[in-house]
Amino acid sequence: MAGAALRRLMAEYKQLTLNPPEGILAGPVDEENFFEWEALISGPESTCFDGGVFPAKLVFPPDYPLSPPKMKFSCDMFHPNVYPDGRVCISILHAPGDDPTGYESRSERWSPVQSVEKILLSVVSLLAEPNDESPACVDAAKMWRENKPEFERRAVRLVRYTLGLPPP
Amino acid sequence: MDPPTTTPPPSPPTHDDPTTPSSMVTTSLTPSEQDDLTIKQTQEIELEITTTTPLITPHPLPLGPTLLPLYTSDPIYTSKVHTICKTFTKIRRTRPDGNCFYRAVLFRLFEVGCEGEEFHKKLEDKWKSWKGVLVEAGYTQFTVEDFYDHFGESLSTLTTSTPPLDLPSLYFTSPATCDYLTVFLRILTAAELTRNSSFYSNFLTTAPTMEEFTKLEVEPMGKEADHLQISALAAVLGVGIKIIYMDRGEDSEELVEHLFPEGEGEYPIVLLYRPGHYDLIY
Repeated sequence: MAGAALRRLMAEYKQLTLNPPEGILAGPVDEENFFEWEALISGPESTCFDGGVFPAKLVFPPDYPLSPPKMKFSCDMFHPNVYPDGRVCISILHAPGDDPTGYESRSERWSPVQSVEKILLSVVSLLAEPNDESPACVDAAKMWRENKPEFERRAVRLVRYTLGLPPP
Repeated sequence: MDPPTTTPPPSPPTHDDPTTPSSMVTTSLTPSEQDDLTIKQTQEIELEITTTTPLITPHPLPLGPTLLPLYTSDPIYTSKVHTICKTFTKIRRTRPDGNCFYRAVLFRLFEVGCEGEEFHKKLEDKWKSWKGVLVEAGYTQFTVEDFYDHFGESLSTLTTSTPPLDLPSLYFTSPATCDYLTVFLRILTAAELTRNSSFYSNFLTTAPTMEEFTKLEVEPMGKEADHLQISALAAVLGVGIKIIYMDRGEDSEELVEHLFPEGEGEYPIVLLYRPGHYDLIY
């Protein structure tokens, strides 16, 4: 069904180009290969990630949209729900049976009527409101919970780094 | 699963803490590694089910000889199988992967569609009306149209000709083909629940809103169907579904059956429910 996956990805790309959601840019890295996308996510306003532009890669399986894509930030990230290697851990990227941290039974899951746009919007919400019940990065979750000012300082450093600015 | 074999710690054995479980070795893994292991184990279990059970059995099997050996030491279930065998004779088993209800309904719809031109025509007319149902429920077109089109194309291949179509190998062998059709029934069920949510919401018990219910319990693959999903699917299909219940309740000589919709109509789709699983029976 790779043909169906390709059709769907092309339709999603077209939709994202015609009606881009605020703060999100996404599309195939190379128009010859629709199964690998790059996305740019703006840090949500009035949060410590405000002003940052965070690049990420999305890799789609051949049976997309039956199975979800994988998403990984390609910049340094320090966030409770992002693994130290950049992989994003969010329930919308997981099929129902697939709950690695065991805390997602009541959260929104992947289903074939989700889309790249919905994933990216969920990731923006996640930047604004980390979910520290199911941390992928324990250090970040701990700091978020116990020392928010320090967490925010780290976030601001990341924001400046993504913009090519020197640390404050 | 056997615990992983590990080198014992260098300290001499003590009897101070006999309760330390061997699983403590996992604490040396990072959360990322632990999560990877969880995912791997889940995938192994799924793979085992996938390789040992077909999506649907290619031929109906005799009901008694198929079920009785499963319950040799269980007098309640054995007696219930005997009761069911008075009315039904055959069973078509489905893979227990959480999609069994939708797949069983799908198979029987196609099968009845091949048995009579009238039913086939009715299904095709219904299919045309479902486009409006999906729009009414507010689905974004590109997320549903492929599933809608694929379902329609498959419906149009049904025929009453002889030899009969080999439905199991055409549509129920490759998971990608079958899942595409199954997804459509999930979307259709969710759409019916959404557009008539003022009615169906009265029966919600596990989610605060219909939107949340369809997102959590209907649209994702692998989520089993319960009363609400069955009522909605039977309603939107316009095809009666009868469920024969077999559980550990009172030993009864009578069939326990639920009709969707309730009434005196026809029920071309008959499913046998055993806790957590649906099979087709005839």
